[in-house]
Amino acid sequence: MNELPDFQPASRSWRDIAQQVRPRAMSREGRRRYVVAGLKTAAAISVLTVLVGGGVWLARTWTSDRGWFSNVSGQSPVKRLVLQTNGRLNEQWVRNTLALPARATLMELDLAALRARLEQPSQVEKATVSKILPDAVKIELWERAPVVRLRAPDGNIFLVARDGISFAGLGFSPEALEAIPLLTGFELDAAGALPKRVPGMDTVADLLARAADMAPHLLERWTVVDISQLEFDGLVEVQSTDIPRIIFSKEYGFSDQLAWLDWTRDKASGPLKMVNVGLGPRVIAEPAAVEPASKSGARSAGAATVPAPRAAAVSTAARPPIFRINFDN
Amino acid sequence: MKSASRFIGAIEIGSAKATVLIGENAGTALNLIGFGECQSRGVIKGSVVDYKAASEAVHAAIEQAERSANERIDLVFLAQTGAHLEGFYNEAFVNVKAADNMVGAQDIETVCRLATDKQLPPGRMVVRHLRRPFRLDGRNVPGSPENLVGQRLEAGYWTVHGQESKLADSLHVIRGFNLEVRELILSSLASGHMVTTAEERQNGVLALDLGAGTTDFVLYRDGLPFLTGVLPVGGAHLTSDLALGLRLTEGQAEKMKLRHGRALVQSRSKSDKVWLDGNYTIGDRQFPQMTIEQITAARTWETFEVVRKKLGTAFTPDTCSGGVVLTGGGAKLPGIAEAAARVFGIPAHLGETPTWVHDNLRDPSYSTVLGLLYHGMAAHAESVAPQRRGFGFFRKLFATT
Repeated sequence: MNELPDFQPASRSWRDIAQQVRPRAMSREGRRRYVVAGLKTAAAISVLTVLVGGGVWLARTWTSDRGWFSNVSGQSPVKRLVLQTNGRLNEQWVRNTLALPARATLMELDLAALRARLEQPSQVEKATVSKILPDAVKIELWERAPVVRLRAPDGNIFLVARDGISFAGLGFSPEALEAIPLLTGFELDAAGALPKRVPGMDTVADLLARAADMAPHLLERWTVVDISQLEFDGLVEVQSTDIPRIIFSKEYGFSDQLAWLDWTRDKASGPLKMVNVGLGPRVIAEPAAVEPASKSGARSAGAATVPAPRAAAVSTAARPPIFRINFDN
Repeated sequence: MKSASRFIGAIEIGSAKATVLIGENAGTALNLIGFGECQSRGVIKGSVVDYKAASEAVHAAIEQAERSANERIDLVFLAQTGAHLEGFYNEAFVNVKAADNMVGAQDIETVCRLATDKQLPPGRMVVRHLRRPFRLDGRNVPGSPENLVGQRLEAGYWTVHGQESKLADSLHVIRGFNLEVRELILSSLASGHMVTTAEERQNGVLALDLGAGTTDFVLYRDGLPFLTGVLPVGGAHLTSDLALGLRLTEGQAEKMKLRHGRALVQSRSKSDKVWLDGNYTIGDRQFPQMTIEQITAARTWETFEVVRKKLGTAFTPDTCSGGVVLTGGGAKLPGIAEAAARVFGIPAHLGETPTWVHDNLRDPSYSTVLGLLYHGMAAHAESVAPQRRGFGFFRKLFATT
């Protein structure tokens, strides 16, 4: 036994017994487990097959159509800009603002920096920049809507949004700018420049929005909105092409005030110089000055041609050009 | 698969009951999380004789254990017993090849291969090779002889083998639940490992597992299993003897055994009588206590005698200073330790389950299944250790990427 002899085949061990049994020899639970195990194996094989197949396909694509990889991985140059905006800014402005290099690929883009560039002008309230494979950049802009325009001390015209932020009004045509009422009566900051945020713009915006809804025929005549009395008296004075002074108050609903104004304007027989609807149901209207020859007649005619809707107009004898209409009754 | 197995089932298909324990492999610890038990059917003397009945009982126990653990078993360690198991000793030696007479790994591998490579009769299969200590130039080497200096290296194995068809039947019962048997472990080794201490095994100890259908024994020497065996005699035979001797049904005899059986005759008077039921119903009658004790003691005594005979010269009181440790359901018979001590001539005591075992499982009849899980986990941990390291590497790799 000193030398290694030719060994006989090793004795069989219990491990040589085939443990597998036919399904019919299994219990119900055993058969259920057997089926579940089979399904798991089949699922695993399927997943493996898909993975291997995917790998083979990728390898073939790599050798035959390498451009596909650059497409799906954003390696091709940016060719399109997809712009969505709620305002006036156009694609050209976006291109100029972004100033993308000519051969820039999607992977090279710094989206945060691009977004910061787009949000730099205060006209853009919010911007999002996203990539669209293979070669497009999608830009969504939320622009501030102008409420009024104002003239800066240097003579430039700016637009003001509801939040009081002023902006240059990029993309607005001169006609569109002219149609927007001019804001006066705001205070400049200590340096004599425009304030960062014009106060009281929400009140003005409410008035103009209500006017646009209820009485666009009035709004289209409004040229100037003055807010000099807004802070302390709560009054907004509007200058219209037909009525030089229309006074609104934020104490009362703008819907009522607009209705009173419209009614007064309709009932007035002649041009009006001033209408104050900011006193509540009592509207004060002042007719415009008439020709000297018929001044007295005009005064009386002005007072007589604007009756109260329900009660008789209460005119003040001491001040005949001014008549009051009481809507309380 | 090996390293992913978390929930391991230990299953004992006994003649009286099928028991299932579920252990959770928690790295370095083992948590017992499930237990199931069902009265066994179709199993006689540890061998499956009715596949369907045995399957139903075992599968019911597995389902019960899985329900209690709320987990599913991944793989199984199965206890193997039965009268068909036999053992023999074979040894071999090699001359150490190296010029400096230092034992190398190849010497060890060669001598082990020679010692285990013995043809078995047709239809027999190896269940377990139990290595005895190496000997180098005639001196015992408790551990590995590698790098020791000597000229003649000897190795011996106690090989346990069983009948192929009976082994296959046990495996197929488990596979019928679509579970894989990872290890087949001798019942005697499982229970012996559980109820003996390392010190006792080092000093030499005989562990006897008295089951319902079989009596399994293992003799430890030098810390290793030296010899194992199975007797096709168990507690059921005591019941059967009582039924024959007292003309009782099996159920009545079992009741008498549990109430009044003893491994030693203690009663001194034939007039001492015990009632069958004790409720004075029709059929209730009295039996002499001494007769019951004589019947149970005789069978117990005989069983121990046969074990001693089977151990032969391997067992001597000098080489078994750890004594006899008794376990299994039959160990609950009063006076059995004293009977064992008289037969073997050395101290005997009942095996104690470790304190970490839950009170519900501290009964001696669960020592096999507990040992099975414990022994199996140790074997499993050894077998998967290198693979676990590899798996960990890949897990780290994927975690990083």
